[in-house]
Amino acid sequence: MASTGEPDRKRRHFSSISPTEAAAAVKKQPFFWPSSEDKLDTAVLQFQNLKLSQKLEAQHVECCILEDRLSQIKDHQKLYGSSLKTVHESWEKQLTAAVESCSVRVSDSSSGAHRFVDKEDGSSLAHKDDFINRLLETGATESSSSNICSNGMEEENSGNTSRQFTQTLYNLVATTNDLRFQKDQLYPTALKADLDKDFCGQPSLNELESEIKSFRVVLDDVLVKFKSLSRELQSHRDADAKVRTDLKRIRGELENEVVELQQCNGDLSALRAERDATAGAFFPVLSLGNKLASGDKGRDKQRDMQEMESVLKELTSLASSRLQELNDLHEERTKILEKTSSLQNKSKSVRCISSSQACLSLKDQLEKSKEAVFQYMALLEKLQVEKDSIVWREREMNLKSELGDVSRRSSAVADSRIASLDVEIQKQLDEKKRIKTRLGNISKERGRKEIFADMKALISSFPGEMSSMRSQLENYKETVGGIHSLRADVQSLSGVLCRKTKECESLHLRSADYASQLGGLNATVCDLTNSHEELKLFLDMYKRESIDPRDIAEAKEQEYRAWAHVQSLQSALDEHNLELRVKAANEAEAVSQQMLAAAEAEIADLRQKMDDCKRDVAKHSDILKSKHEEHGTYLSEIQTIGSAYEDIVPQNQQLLLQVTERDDYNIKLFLESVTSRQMQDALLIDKNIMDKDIQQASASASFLSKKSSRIEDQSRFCIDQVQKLAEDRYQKSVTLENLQKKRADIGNGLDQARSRLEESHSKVEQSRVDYGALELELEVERFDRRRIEEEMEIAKKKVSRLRSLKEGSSAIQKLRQELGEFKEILKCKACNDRPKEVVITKCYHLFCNPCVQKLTGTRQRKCPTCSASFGPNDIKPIYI
Amino acid sequence: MATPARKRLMWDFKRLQKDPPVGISGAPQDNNIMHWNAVIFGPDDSPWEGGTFKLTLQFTEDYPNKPPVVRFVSKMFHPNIYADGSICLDILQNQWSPIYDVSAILTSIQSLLCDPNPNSPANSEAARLFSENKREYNRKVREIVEQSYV
Repeated sequence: MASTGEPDRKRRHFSSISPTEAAAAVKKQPFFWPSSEDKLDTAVLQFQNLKLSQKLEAQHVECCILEDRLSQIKDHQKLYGSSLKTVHESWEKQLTAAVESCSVRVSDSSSGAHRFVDKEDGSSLAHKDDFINRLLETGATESSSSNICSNGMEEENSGNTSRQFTQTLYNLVATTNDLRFQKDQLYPTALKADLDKDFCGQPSLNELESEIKSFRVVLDDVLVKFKSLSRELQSHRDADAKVRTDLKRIRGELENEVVELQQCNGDLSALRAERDATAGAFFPVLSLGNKLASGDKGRDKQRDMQEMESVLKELTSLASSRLQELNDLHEERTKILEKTSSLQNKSKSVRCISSSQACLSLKDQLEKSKEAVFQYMALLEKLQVEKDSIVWREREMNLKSELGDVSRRSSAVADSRIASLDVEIQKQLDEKKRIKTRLGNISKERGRKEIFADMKALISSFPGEMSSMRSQLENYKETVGGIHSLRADVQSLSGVLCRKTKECESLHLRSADYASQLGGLNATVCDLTNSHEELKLFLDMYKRESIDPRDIAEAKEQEYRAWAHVQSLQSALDEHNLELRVKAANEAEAVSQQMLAAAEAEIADLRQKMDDCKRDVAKHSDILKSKHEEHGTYLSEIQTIGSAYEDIVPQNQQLLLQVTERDDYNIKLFLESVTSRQMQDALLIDKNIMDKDIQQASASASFLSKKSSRIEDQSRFCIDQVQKLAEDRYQKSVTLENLQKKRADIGNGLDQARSRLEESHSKVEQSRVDYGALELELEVERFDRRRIEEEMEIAKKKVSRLRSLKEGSSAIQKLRQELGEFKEILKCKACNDRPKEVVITKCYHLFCNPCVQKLTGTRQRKCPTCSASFGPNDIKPIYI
Repeated sequence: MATPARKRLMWDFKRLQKDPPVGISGAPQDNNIMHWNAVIFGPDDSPWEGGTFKLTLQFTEDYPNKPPVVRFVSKMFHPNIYADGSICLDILQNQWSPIYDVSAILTSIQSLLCDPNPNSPANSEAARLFSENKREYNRKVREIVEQSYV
């Protein structure tokens, strides 16, 4: 530290001195210059210039050194600031924690063992003092180091101090803990001792208690003080920072100066160069007698020198002013350092004070009050939030009411719409009725339809009738044809009859011829028979006559006679033939007569037939006539029917057209009816929907009205709440004021407590004296305590034994649980019912026998756990 | 009526009550332990998040040896769930093992929701969307999830 610090100081001294020297030198120059202007040559000037330049360089070096130092100081200050921060933090955290623990401990113990508390307080106080002293020492070292402006040592110092600080804190905590422990141990003994020593120590104890309380109060005060002092320190630090900024500014000015000096240097160097030039080149010229030029040069030089002089003067004045400023700043800094040291002292005292419990309690109170204030603030905020929410609610209500209005309007619109829809529905109903009536009419018109159908049937039957009539007519025509054929037959038959009658007549004639022939033939036959008998007689006569000799004449006569006989025979044959012919003719006559008879009969029949036929013909002709008439009538009828048909056909067409029209109309009507029905259905649906809508709207309207009423209630409630809250707020503000008043009172109390603290300090001294006496007692009690501890140990052993007995039951439960778990483990994983009995040797998973048997029964033999396939030989019983 | 199946189901129910898996609840129907109702919550950080899906489990008397018939009652859109709600899951069919209990089944189904197997599609549209258009699939799943609130 010293090694680095001392040269700096020296330098500073040098720097502080050097400007003055420079100033002196500069001051000297004007004295010398005018006198030497004439006499002294440029060598002197050169020498002086050289000196000046040396000085300037020295100054420059000094400036550089100063800059370095400033930067070092800056770095060091940074480090110092950080270390200060850490120290401060550690101070605040650890010390306050320690103090708090102390206070807690004290508060704990304050009800009971006062003596110990006292002792502890004393010890703790002693510790604290020691600690604070140390801390302050470190602070002092820090300040000193800051004064000296060193780096490493200071850092080390701060590190050491922080370490020491933490160590001391740990020690403190440890000691307090030890003390607490001791206290705890001593507590019963102390109680006993108390009991033993009756109540002789009580008044003093009470006093001590009160003292302690006052101590706490005082401590709180001290803490407050400490805080204020720390603030002051902060302000001083700020001032320090300001000073630093000033220093910086001055440094900037110095730099400017340095620049100026450099300029001067440059000028000087230029001058030197000129001088050299004059020294080198002028002297011969001077000797040559170039006086004008030299005179000019000398004048110029003089002028330059004068300028230089003035500049130097200015510079010296500036340097002196800078020096003065620097001195002032140095003084200021020393003052500030003094202040800081005093502040540190103050802070020392403040820390002492702040470590007191009164301060802490005050702090607590302050914090509590702050918390209360915060709470009230929060409450206020809450209230504001509530208010805002209420406002929001009101707005919502307004909106809702607006919505309700809107819904009402919508419901009104819906009502109007419903009414219009009702009207429409009524219209539709009327239409429906109309359509129904039309439908009725149409259904009534169905009679007409029947007529149409009849007509149609009639019309359709007409062609049938016509065809039947035609067929009849054809029949008639056929019958007519038959009649004609009959007539032709009759004519042919009459022709045949005529022919037959002619034939008959001819046959009659022939038969008559034949009969006459027969008569003639019969007469010839009779003649011939007579001649035949006569000839026989002749032959007999000739036979009697021809027998005598007369023979030739008789043979000739016999021949003649044979001849005659042959002839006769021939004639007889002819006659016989004729006879045969006659017979045949007779027979033929008979046959013809029979035939004639038959023919006559036939003719008669035929005549009868003819008659019949004639009758028939007449009849038929009659019939024909009638038929003809009928035919005519029919024809006329047909003609009439045809005309009628022809008449009917257009009618029919008209009717068909009408029917088609009707059909179209009907279809149209039907479609209309369908559409109307659909419309009706749609309207009904609409109506239903509208009804529902109305219901919904009404329900929603009622709901909204309810809601609005509810919201109104809520708003009222909210308004009430707001009012209440406002009242609350007012009350809170009142309470706040009260609290502020209380706070003021507490401030007053604080002042009082400070005075009390002083008193208590004196009392502490007294109590310390008492403490010596009490320590003796303590030793006695310690002996007692040892005895009691032994007893305690015995009792503890007993207790532990009893506890082990007690824990036995819970252990049994635990064991039971474990047993259950183990049993669970032993159960088959598949059924969770039976114990594990068999093992699958493929994967060594255990199951109960029935489960595995079931598995082996299935197609896929796989282990349920790992699905490894196994065979029936892989199952082995296992005995757990 | 304490058949092995019923005993096992009682044990399952106890286990489910004592140590319920996350997002799964199930209980037998009144007076019939062979018929269970269950609810699976959609797993978090997935499109199924927030959904509550009801299922029915129908057990047989062969239960530990034969799987139950599990069926979704809620409408589902999943590659492995048929339109009638039945589930295409290997452990409910050929990969069944008697050591699976109700909680294991329900946990498997819950994990199936997030990890469908598009190679055995029961819902071809869902499988197609899952493999081709994940965004549309997620949208449809979210629709289903929204429907499941009702």
